[in-house]
Amino acid sequence: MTPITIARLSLAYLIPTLIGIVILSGLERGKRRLAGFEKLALGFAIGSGIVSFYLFYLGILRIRFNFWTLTAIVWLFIIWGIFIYARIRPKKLAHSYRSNIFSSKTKWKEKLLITFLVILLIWKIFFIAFNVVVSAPYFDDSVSCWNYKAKVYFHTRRIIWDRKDPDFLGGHPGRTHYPNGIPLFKSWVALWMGRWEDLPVNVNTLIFWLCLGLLFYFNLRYYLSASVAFAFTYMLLSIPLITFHAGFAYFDMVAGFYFIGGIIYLYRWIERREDFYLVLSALLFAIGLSIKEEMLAFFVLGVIPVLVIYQAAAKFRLPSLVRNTALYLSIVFVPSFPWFYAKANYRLQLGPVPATQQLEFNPKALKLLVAYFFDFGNYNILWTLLIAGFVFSFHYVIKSNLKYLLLSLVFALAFLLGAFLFVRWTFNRATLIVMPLMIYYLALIYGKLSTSRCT
Amino acid sequence: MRSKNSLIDHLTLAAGYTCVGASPCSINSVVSRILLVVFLLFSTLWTLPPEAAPAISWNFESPEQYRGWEGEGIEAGMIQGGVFRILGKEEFQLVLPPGLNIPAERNPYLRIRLRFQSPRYMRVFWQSRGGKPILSLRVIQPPFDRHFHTYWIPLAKSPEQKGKVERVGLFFGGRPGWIEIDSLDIGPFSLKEYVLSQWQEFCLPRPLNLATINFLQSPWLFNKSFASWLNIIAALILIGAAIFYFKAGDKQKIKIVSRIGFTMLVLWVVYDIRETYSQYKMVEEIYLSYVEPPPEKKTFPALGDFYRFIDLCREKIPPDSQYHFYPYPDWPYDCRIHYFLYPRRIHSDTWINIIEGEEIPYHVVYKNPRVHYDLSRRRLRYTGPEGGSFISPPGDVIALFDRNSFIFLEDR
Repeated sequence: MTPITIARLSLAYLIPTLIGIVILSGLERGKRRLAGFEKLALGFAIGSGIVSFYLFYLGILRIRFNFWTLTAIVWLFIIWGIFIYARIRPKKLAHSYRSNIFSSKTKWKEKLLITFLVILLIWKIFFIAFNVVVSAPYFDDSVSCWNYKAKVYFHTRRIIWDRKDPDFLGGHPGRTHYPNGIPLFKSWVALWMGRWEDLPVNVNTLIFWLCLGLLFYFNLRYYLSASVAFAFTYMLLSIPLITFHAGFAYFDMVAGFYFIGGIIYLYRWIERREDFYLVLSALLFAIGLSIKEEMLAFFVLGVIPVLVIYQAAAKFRLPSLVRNTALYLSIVFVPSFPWFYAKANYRLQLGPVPATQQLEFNPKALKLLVAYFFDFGNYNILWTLLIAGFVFSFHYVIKSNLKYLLLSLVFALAFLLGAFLFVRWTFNRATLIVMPLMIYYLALIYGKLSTSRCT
Repeated sequence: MRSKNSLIDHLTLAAGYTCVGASPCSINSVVSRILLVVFLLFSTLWTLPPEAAPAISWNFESPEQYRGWEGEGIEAGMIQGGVFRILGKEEFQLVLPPGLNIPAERNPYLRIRLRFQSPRYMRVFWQSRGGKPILSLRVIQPPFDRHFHTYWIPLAKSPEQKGKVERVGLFFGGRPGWIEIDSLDIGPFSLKEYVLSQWQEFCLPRPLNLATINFLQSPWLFNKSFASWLNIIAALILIGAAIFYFKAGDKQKIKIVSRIGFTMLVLWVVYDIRETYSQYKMVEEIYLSYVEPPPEKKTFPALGDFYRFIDLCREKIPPDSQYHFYPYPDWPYDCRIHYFLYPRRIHSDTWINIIEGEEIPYHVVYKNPRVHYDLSRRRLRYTGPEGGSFISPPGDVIALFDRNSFIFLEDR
């Protein structure tokens, strides 16, 4: 890689990150609500989603992707960023915690353990980076869906809406109905690079994996001590299938990022009732809907009922309830509305492929499910811990706000299991969308039951 | 009572075969060697003194070891490269050479090291003199990977089994495909050999193949996946802790939860260390096959030399062209070439991405013995079970990758 290539690659990823940070800073309105690295992770996730939406809207307007159209969005956010920077002091950009994992308050045994976990995580970074750098896209969907559609958008420099054209909506005959968030972001990277190469467009899974860790750790720090938060973050990042997916350009883990992000800030809103968190949660779900098709079901089943049930249980007045719900749903659905409109207009499929649409209970799947949970090496011992977590904490959870987190988890798992048992949906990969929430729930109940408090 | 050695001598003489010890541990990484030493040190504390090597054995090093085997439903069998290869129907059986005469009261074990080339299962049956054949309850279903796996199956374990086991056989079911037996022996149980073989099983690297994205096989240990052992241990600890937890006072509850948390983290780390080893082996596999070799020898797990063929296609086919693609089989090459060669446009049985009305002058053949270039007619000829036909107008092979892989260009 030449210095110019590295600079182009850096720009391709830094620009969306800065766009995301500007949006977050704008929403914070001068108050430090997010930690620095938390903001960085969210900045990338939100910014990459924003540029994907931007390219999609350009595509709808039949505008070609070129230097001028690509950079137009950058100028907008530079101006907004300067405006925000002028209004608030740089010190207020992010908040920090009083202690970290290697502070003097941490016992030497904990430091030793954490050092060991850090070594394991460093190995995982190397493992993921090695696969990203060395391997071309290897598995079916990464080749024929994510990267193929992105390559088509890159070469055609636009979205083609003519059904007869072989490059119609990304050109993949079986995936025209699939959301375009990831392919469009990959094509954004390739456009900044000036040519199509696998390495620059595939490195986003490594970045998302790191962002997932940062988001998770800094959110757990609200409730847990540094070492306990780190241990649970390590558990999340070391789930075998998550680490593996991060190295091979698959996006269930990325959908999991948006799902857990949305849930975390919805839960924070439930605890603090500050609109910032509600908006942030909605924003993450809005982008999540453009990542994977099944995110719609996870959102409708796992989030909307919780939002409504919470407000009803907390005895919100009707106007507030309507306002919050309308605000939330509009932020989630308005950005994706053109996509849903296009789907309806072109009669594109919604949901599982027709061959698996028939609802039919599959009794053999139960046995398979048990094997998936406990025999395969996809999830370490997570399912056992989750079951134990339910048993140990149920009496406590139903009395606290954690019950809303539990509700989301139960609804999401019910959808996942139902889809597997009745529609024979791929189970293992789809679980990665819910895995972060499972560990987050476990971490919070562990924090409550062991009184491992934030310092 | 006869000593173990005399029993082995007896069995060896009876069967007319030489003894073969356990194959040496093939673990080559420093990490696994250290772990092996630690594990063996630990295991010596509770193992019995070393027992004699297995009594009756076949290592299939010489073609004579093929002699005496019988079977039903077998379509082909041969000894090749130290391996007994058998191709059978959906269900078939293989019977060991006669004259075994194994004393049942010594609880003999059959140890087999094999691998399947298709999803299959195996059961063992045996018969004593004058008795009925007994089918073992245990169904052997090795992970469907590229590795050999070792299994220990007790013969004549039930108390009513007396006398001598004269006939031992293997019953196979499942999807037809080659079965490869690396070694097979019958002899008394040896804890040391058993632990060693299990350790070898445990250290087998996870193969990288095109299904790995959906599930990562856990390593196996003592006939169970390592993940399930850890889940069982975790469940037992949690159940035990729950009993104390629900009886304890508030302060004690906090202590119990903290201790459980730490124990679960330790279990998690134990699995993760093994997973790290799997990841290391995967990196090593990719490095040795794809990074280190010179360009003309690079291969990638499960795709072989496909990426080199892609490079050739990129070199020979202009980016604005359209091509026919004839792979065998279609998957996994069709969807991949579709991506790697874009904006060149594909026309194949499974993928069509062409601009209608424009010519498709290139024909790309990959690993397909059914499509070949007819020199006399200068055309591509397809030869299938239903007969042969020409599938292209005249042209030339412009790039030859190997005998069954090439690029053909039509005359313009």
